[in-house]
Amino acid sequence: MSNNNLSGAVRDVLIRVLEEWAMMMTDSITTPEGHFEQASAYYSSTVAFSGGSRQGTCAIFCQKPFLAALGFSLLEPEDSDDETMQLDALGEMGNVICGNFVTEAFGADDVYHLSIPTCRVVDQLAFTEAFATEHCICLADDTAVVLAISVSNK
Amino acid sequence: MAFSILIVDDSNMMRKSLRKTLDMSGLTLGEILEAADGSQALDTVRERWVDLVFLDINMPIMDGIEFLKNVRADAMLKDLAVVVISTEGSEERVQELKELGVKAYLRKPVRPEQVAETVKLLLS
Repeated sequence: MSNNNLSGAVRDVLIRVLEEWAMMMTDSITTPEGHFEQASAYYSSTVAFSGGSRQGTCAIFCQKPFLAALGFSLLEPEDSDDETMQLDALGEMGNVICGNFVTEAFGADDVYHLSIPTCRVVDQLAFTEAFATEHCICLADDTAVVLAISVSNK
Repeated sequence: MAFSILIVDDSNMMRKSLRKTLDMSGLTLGEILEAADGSQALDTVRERWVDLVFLDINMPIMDGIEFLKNVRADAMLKDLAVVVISTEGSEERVQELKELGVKAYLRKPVRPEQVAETVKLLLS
Protein backbone atom coordinates (compact mmCIF):
# COMPACT_ATOMS: atom_id res chain seq x y z
CA MET A 1 0.00 0.00 0.00
CA SER A 2 1.33 3.46 -0.90
CA ASN A 3 1.91 6.17 1.70
CA ASN A 4 -0.91 8.20 0.18
CA ASN A 5 -3.37 5.33 0.61
CA LEU A 6 -2.12 4.67 4.14
CA SER A 7 -2.52 8.33 4.97
CA GLY A 8 -6.04 8.29 3.54
CA ALA A 9 -6.97 5.23 5.58
CA VAL A 10 -5.69 6.85 8.79
CA ARG A 11 -7.75 9.98 8.17
CA ASP A 12 -10.90 8.17 7.00
CA VAL A 13 -10.98 5.78 9.95
CA LEU A 14 -10.35 8.50 12.54
CA ILE A 15 -13.09 10.74 11.14
CA ARG A 16 -15.57 7.89 10.69
CA VAL A 17 -15.11 6.55 14.21
CA LEU A 18 -15.34 10.02 15.77
CA GLU A 19 -18.44 10.97 13.79
CA GLU A 20 -20.35 7.69 13.60
CA TRP A 21 -19.37 5.98 16.82
CA ALA A 22 -18.55 8.83 19.20
CA MET A 23 -21.14 11.16 17.60
CA MET A 24 -18.69 14.07 17.61
CA MET A 25 -18.42 16.91 15.08
CA THR A 26 -15.01 16.95 13.41
CA ASP A 27 -12.85 19.59 11.72
CA SER A 28 -9.54 18.90 10.01
CA ILE A 29 -6.42 20.74 11.20
CA THR A 30 -2.89 20.47 9.91
CA THR A 31 -0.77 21.28 12.95
CA PRO A 32 -1.01 20.60 16.69
CA GLU A 33 0.22 24.12 17.46
CA GLY A 34 -2.37 26.14 19.31
CA HIS A 35 -4.48 23.08 20.05
CA PHE A 36 -2.43 21.35 22.77
CA GLU A 37 -1.14 22.73 26.10
CA GLN A 38 2.50 21.76 26.51
CA ALA A 39 2.28 22.08 30.29
CA SER A 40 -0.72 19.74 30.56
CA ALA A 41 -0.80 15.94 30.61
CA TYR A 42 -1.05 13.96 27.41
CA TYR A 43 -3.10 10.74 27.33
CA SER A 44 -2.61 7.89 24.89
CA SER A 45 -4.46 4.74 23.93
CA THR A 46 -2.32 2.23 22.06
CA VAL A 47 -3.35 -0.99 20.32
CA ALA A 48 -0.80 -3.23 18.61
CA PHE A 49 -1.78 -5.29 15.58
CA SER A 50 -0.19 -8.26 13.89
CA GLY A 51 -1.33 -10.34 10.94
CA GLY A 52 -0.44 -11.41 7.43
CA SER A 53 2.96 -9.98 6.69
CA ARG A 54 2.49 -6.80 8.74
CA GLN A 55 2.63 -5.56 12.28
CA GLY A 56 2.35 -2.16 13.90
CA THR A 57 0.52 0.06 16.36
CA CYS A 58 -2.40 2.47 16.38
CA ALA A 59 -2.00 5.21 18.98
CA ILE A 60 -4.42 7.98 19.91
CA PHE A 61 -3.02 11.06 21.66
CA CYS A 62 -5.13 13.68 23.37
CA GLN A 63 -5.38 15.91 26.41
CA LYS A 64 -8.01 16.41 29.07
CA PRO A 65 -10.42 18.51 26.93
CA PHE A 66 -10.80 15.69 24.36
CA LEU A 67 -11.10 13.09 27.11
CA ALA A 68 -13.88 15.13 28.71
CA ALA A 69 -15.65 15.66 25.37
CA LEU A 70 -15.42 11.93 24.56
CA GLY A 71 -16.82 11.12 28.00
CA PHE A 72 -19.64 13.61 27.55
CA SER A 73 -20.51 12.04 24.21
CA LEU A 74 -20.21 8.34 25.04
CA LEU A 75 -20.76 7.92 28.76
CA GLU A 76 -23.81 8.07 30.96
CA PRO A 77 -24.19 11.44 32.75
CA GLU A 78 -23.21 9.91 36.10
CA ASP A 79 -19.94 8.58 34.58
CA SER A 80 -18.97 11.36 32.19
CA ASP A 81 -16.63 13.14 34.66
CA ASP A 82 -15.05 9.93 35.96
CA GLU A 83 -11.49 9.74 34.56
CA THR A 84 -11.39 5.94 34.84
CA MET A 85 -14.49 5.70 32.66
CA GLN A 86 -13.12 8.34 30.28
CA LEU A 87 -9.94 6.27 29.84
CA ASP A 88 -12.08 3.16 29.32
CA ALA A 89 -13.83 5.04 26.49
CA LEU A 90 -10.46 6.13 25.06
CA GLY A 91 -9.26 2.50 25.17
CA GLU A 92 -12.37 1.30 23.37
CA MET A 93 -11.92 4.04 20.79
CA GLY A 94 -8.39 2.72 20.18
CA ASN A 95 -9.76 -0.79 19.73
CA VAL A 96 -12.49 0.31 17.29
CA ILE A 97 -10.04 2.44 15.29
CA CYS A 98 -7.37 -0.27 15.06
CA GLY A 99 -9.84 -2.99 14.00
CA ASN A 100 -11.30 -0.77 11.32
CA PHE A 101 -7.90 0.53 10.20
CA VAL A 102 -6.37 -2.86 9.45
CA THR A 103 -9.35 -3.85 7.28
CA GLU A 104 -9.48 -0.46 5.56
CA ALA A 105 -5.74 -0.34 4.89
CA PHE A 106 -4.90 -3.99 4.21
CA GLY A 107 -8.21 -5.62 3.17
CA ALA A 108 -10.21 -8.48 4.68
CA ASP A 109 -8.04 -11.43 3.58
CA ASP A 110 -5.81 -11.74 6.66
CA VAL A 111 -6.81 -12.19 10.30
CA TYR A 112 -5.20 -9.51 12.46
CA HIS A 113 -4.61 -10.07 16.14
CA LEU A 114 -5.20 -6.90 18.16
CA SER A 115 -3.71 -6.33 21.60
CA ILE A 116 -5.79 -5.14 24.54
CA PRO A 117 -5.72 -1.30 24.53
CA THR A 118 -3.14 0.31 26.81
CA CYS A 119 -4.14 3.73 28.17
CA ARG A 120 -1.62 5.89 29.99
CA VAL A 121 -0.32 9.37 30.60
CA VAL A 122 2.62 10.12 28.30
CA ASP A 123 5.14 12.93 28.17
CA GLN A 124 5.71 15.62 25.57
CA LEU A 125 8.43 13.55 23.88
CA ALA A 126 6.14 10.61 23.21
CA PHE A 127 3.54 13.00 21.84
CA THR A 128 6.09 14.69 19.57
CA GLU A 129 7.35 11.32 18.30
CA ALA A 130 3.87 10.50 17.06
CA PHE A 131 4.35 13.04 14.30
CA ALA A 132 7.26 11.04 12.88
CA THR A 133 4.81 8.27 11.89
CA GLU A 134 1.75 8.32 9.62
CA HIS A 135 -0.74 10.51 11.48
CA CYS A 136 -3.88 12.59 11.32
CA ILE A 137 -4.87 15.48 13.58
CA CYS A 138 -8.38 16.78 13.92
CA LEU A 139 -10.73 18.65 16.19
CA ALA A 140 -13.63 16.66 17.61
CA ASP A 141 -16.25 18.84 19.28
CA ASP A 142 -13.55 21.55 19.22
CA THR A 143 -10.99 19.45 21.12
CA ALA A 144 -7.80 18.14 19.52
CA VAL A 145 -6.93 14.49 18.96
CA VAL A 146 -4.15 12.75 17.03
CA LEU A 147 -4.13 9.28 15.51
CA ALA A 148 -0.62 7.98 14.79
CA ILE A 149 -0.04 4.66 13.03
CA SER A 150 3.18 2.81 12.51
CA VAL A 151 3.37 -0.19 10.18
CA SER A 152 6.26 -2.51 9.45
CA ASN A 153 6.75 -5.76 7.59
CA LYS A 154 7.34 -8.87 9.70
CA MET B 1 -41.75 -14.46 28.53
CA ALA B 2 -38.78 -12.44 29.77
CA PHE B 3 -35.43 -13.19 28.15
CA SER B 4 -32.15 -13.23 30.00
CA ILE B 5 -29.15 -11.66 28.23
CA LEU B 6 -25.43 -11.78 29.03
CA ILE B 7 -23.16 -8.96 27.82
CA VAL B 8 -19.47 -9.93 27.59
CA ASP B 9 -17.02 -7.10 26.98
CA ASP B 10 -13.89 -5.94 28.80
CA SER B 11 -14.97 -2.32 28.40
CA ASN B 12 -17.24 -1.16 31.20
CA MET B 13 -18.43 1.62 28.91
CA MET B 14 -19.46 -0.84 26.18
CA ARG B 15 -21.33 -3.02 28.68
CA LYS B 16 -23.23 -0.01 29.99
CA SER B 17 -23.96 1.22 26.48
CA LEU B 18 -25.34 -2.17 25.39
CA ARG B 19 -27.40 -2.46 28.58
CA LYS B 20 -28.93 0.94 27.89
CA THR B 21 -29.71 -0.04 24.28
CA LEU B 22 -31.40 -3.23 25.48
CA ASP B 23 -33.34 -1.34 28.16
CA MET B 24 -34.66 0.96 25.44
CA SER B 25 -35.40 -1.81 22.90
CA GLY B 26 -39.03 -2.27 23.95
CA LEU B 27 -38.54 -6.01 24.44
CA THR B 28 -39.65 -7.78 27.58
CA LEU B 29 -36.29 -8.60 29.05
CA GLY B 30 -35.49 -10.41 32.25
CA GLU B 31 -32.05 -10.24 33.78
CA ILE B 32 -29.27 -8.48 31.92
CA LEU B 33 -26.01 -9.98 33.18
CA GLU B 34 -22.46 -8.76 32.56
CA ALA B 35 -19.02 -10.35 32.31
CA ALA B 36 -15.65 -8.67 31.64
CA ASP B 37 -13.98 -11.62 29.87
CA GLY B 38 -14.65 -15.08 28.48
CA SER B 39 -13.76 -16.86 31.72
CA GLN B 40 -16.27 -14.85 33.76
CA ALA B 41 -18.82 -15.40 31.01
CA LEU B 42 -18.25 -19.16 31.08
CA ASP B 43 -18.82 -19.22 34.85
CA THR B 44 -22.02 -17.22 34.39
CA VAL B 45 -23.58 -19.41 31.67
CA ARG B 46 -22.75 -22.53 33.69
CA GLU B 47 -24.49 -21.11 36.77
CA ARG B 48 -27.40 -19.12 35.33
CA TRP B 49 -29.97 -19.49 32.58
CA VAL B 50 -29.07 -17.22 29.65
CA ASP B 51 -31.09 -16.91 26.41
CA LEU B 52 -28.64 -14.80 24.42
CA VAL B 53 -25.01 -13.71 24.74
CA PHE B 54 -23.52 -10.55 23.25
CA LEU B 55 -19.84 -11.36 22.91
CA ASP B 56 -16.75 -9.24 22.26
CA ILE B 57 -13.73 -11.05 20.78
CA ASN B 58 -10.67 -9.09 21.88
CA MET B 59 -10.60 -9.51 25.68
CA PRO B 60 -7.97 -10.34 28.31
CA ILE B 61 -7.79 -13.65 30.25
CA MET B 62 -10.08 -15.54 27.86
CA ASP B 63 -11.04 -14.08 24.49
CA GLY B 64 -14.34 -14.53 22.69
CA ILE B 65 -13.14 -17.33 20.39
CA GLU B 66 -11.95 -19.42 23.34
CA PHE B 67 -15.27 -18.80 25.13
CA LEU B 68 -17.17 -20.00 22.04
CA LYS B 69 -15.04 -23.15 21.74
CA ASN B 70 -15.70 -23.96 25.40
CA VAL B 71 -19.43 -23.38 25.00
CA ARG B 72 -19.73 -25.55 21.89
CA ALA B 73 -17.79 -28.35 23.61
CA ASP B 74 -20.18 -28.35 26.57
CA ALA B 75 -23.19 -30.60 26.06
CA MET B 76 -25.37 -28.36 28.25
CA LEU B 77 -24.41 -25.15 26.47
CA LYS B 78 -23.70 -26.12 22.87
CA ASP B 79 -26.93 -24.54 21.53
CA LEU B 80 -26.52 -21.23 23.37
CA ALA B 81 -27.38 -18.27 21.08
CA VAL B 82 -24.39 -15.96 20.66
CA VAL B 83 -24.12 -12.63 18.82
CA VAL B 84 -20.59 -11.33 18.31
CA ILE B 85 -19.88 -7.59 18.45
CA SER B 86 -16.29 -6.93 17.46
CA THR B 87 -14.00 -4.68 15.47
CA GLU B 88 -12.54 -7.53 13.44
CA GLY B 89 -13.46 -7.60 9.77
CA SER B 90 -11.46 -10.39 8.14
CA GLU B 91 -13.37 -12.92 6.05
CA GLU B 92 -11.49 -15.79 7.67
CA ARG B 93 -12.51 -14.66 11.15
CA VAL B 94 -16.15 -14.21 10.14
CA GLN B 95 -16.11 -17.72 8.63
CA GLU B 96 -14.58 -19.11 11.84
CA LEU B 97 -17.37 -17.47 13.85
CA LYS B 98 -20.02 -18.98 11.56
CA GLU B 99 -18.46 -22.41 12.03
CA LEU B 100 -18.64 -21.84 15.79
CA GLY B 101 -22.39 -21.34 15.44
CA VAL B 102 -22.60 -17.59 15.97
CA LYS B 103 -26.12 -16.32 15.18
CA ALA B 104 -25.06 -12.84 14.04
CA TYR B 105 -21.94 -10.74 13.69
CA LEU B 106 -22.09 -6.99 14.27
CA ARG B 107 -18.99 -4.97 13.49
CA LYS B 108 -18.04 -2.06 15.72
CA PRO B 109 -18.94 0.75 15.51
CA VAL B 110 -22.46 -0.61 16.02
CA ARG B 111 -25.58 1.52 16.01
CA PRO B 112 -28.07 0.93 18.86
CA GLU B 113 -30.85 0.13 16.37
CA GLN B 114 -28.73 -2.72 14.90
CA VAL B 115 -28.50 -4.28 18.37
CA ALA B 116 -32.21 -3.87 19.03
CA GLU B 117 -33.15 -5.32 15.62
CA THR B 118 -30.88 -8.32 16.16
CA VAL B 119 -32.36 -9.07 19.58
CA LYS B 120 -35.90 -8.78 18.23
CA LEU B 121 -35.08 -11.09 15.33
CA LEU B 122 -33.44 -13.75 17.48
CA LEU B 123 -35.75 -13.72 20.47
CA SER B 124 -39.15 -13.00 18.95
